[in-house]
Amino acid sequence: MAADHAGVVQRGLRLKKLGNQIVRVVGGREIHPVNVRVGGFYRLPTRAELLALGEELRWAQDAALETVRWVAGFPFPDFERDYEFVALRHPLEYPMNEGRLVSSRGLDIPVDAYEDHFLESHRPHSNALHSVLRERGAYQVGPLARYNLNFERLSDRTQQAAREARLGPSCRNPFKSIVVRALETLHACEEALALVEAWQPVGPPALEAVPGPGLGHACTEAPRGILYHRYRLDERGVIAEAKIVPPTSQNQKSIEEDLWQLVPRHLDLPKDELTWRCEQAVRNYDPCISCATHFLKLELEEA
Amino acid sequence: MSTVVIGVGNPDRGDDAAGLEVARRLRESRPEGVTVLEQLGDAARLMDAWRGSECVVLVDAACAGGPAGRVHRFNARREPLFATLRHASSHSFGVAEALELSRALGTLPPRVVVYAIEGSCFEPGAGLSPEVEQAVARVAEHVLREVCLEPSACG
Repeated sequence: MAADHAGVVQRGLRLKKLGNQIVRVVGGREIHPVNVRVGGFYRLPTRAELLALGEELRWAQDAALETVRWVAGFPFPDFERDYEFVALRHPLEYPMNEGRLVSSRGLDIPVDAYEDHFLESHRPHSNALHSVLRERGAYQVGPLARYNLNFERLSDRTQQAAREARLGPSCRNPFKSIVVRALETLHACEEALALVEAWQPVGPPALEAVPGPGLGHACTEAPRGILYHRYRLDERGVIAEAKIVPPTSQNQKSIEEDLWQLVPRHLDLPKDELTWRCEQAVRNYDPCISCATHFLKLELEEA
Repeated sequence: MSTVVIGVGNPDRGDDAAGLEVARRLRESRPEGVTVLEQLGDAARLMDAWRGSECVVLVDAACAGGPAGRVHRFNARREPLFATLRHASSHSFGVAEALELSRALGTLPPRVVVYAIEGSCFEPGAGLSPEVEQAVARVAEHVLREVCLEPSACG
């Protein structure tokens, strides 16, 4: 791809680099940031450090918009399913770090009720844990879920870009998640620029946290979808029990069901094209297993 | 013309730190006109680091089934590393991807040399094994000669 679309690849690399720069300024280093601590941060970035990101963020808004237009021009298979979408919902903002858990079929719960409604279990045919809604089974998290449940929380410019990309407030085609990812990048660049320009370091970088017994739950919107954490601390404040449910395990069942629906419709395709289409169907979710799909092995059993 | 030496590795995983250790030793000898860097192996950062340079030397740990301390030297300008390094280096994804992406984008420096040091222990928190420790010293000396004394040998 780099040989045929050098400009697009360079744009992507520059966007990625900006993301790394932001993490370095806020988190202390680019990978596995070290500046975060219980209660906040060890050190707050200065106003000058954050403002220095402004120019590149302005470039990034345009680059993200160009990316939206570019991916919107891809050919997409005509494939839609009636998913139950699950995402965080914040009273004012597009969801990221806080809010209630809501779904397209009426779920509306605080995060600490997560385990009353969701169940993660081993399946005999798979190495990965599968998570289901106890009452209804498979669900989908990630860009499409956030978008469908929070469209009106996106910035005006992002909503406008979505309309130009011929994407309404609702989208049930998992192959179009790449367009939603690009729209979210545009929204994130706008948010980041607004935060950077308004930033004034005030107050202590961290709240004091006294070690002691307790139970804590939290849910964030990772790029791939909701990430649930629960920790129980003993009397000394040591973690006695921890549970983490990553988005990939929550999408596992939807990925499998997509494949079940997709393959019978395309049995007329040559085997290599069908394999390629199946790999796309998996990558729609950008799962942690995406490395494995480089060598998806398709075995057709004649019935 | 500029020369960049990049040690690649994870400082907290035993022999994986071999490349980083080579970079540290080189920095102590303060080779003139040579930039010495330590990186974790992210492809985009690697490409940024060698952009515009004349010669880049990469030093990485490897796990290729050979004895600990064995050193492989590749000329990445002459042969694509994807096939060779993919199964050798513990950061093969980052290093090999970066080299091939850079080649496709036309940003690969004219001279590219990769040293891979085979390790035996990649446990979290472990130090370098004695064989790798010795190899690190050898490679550091070799790289120093290559970039300073015989710059034409770089490539």
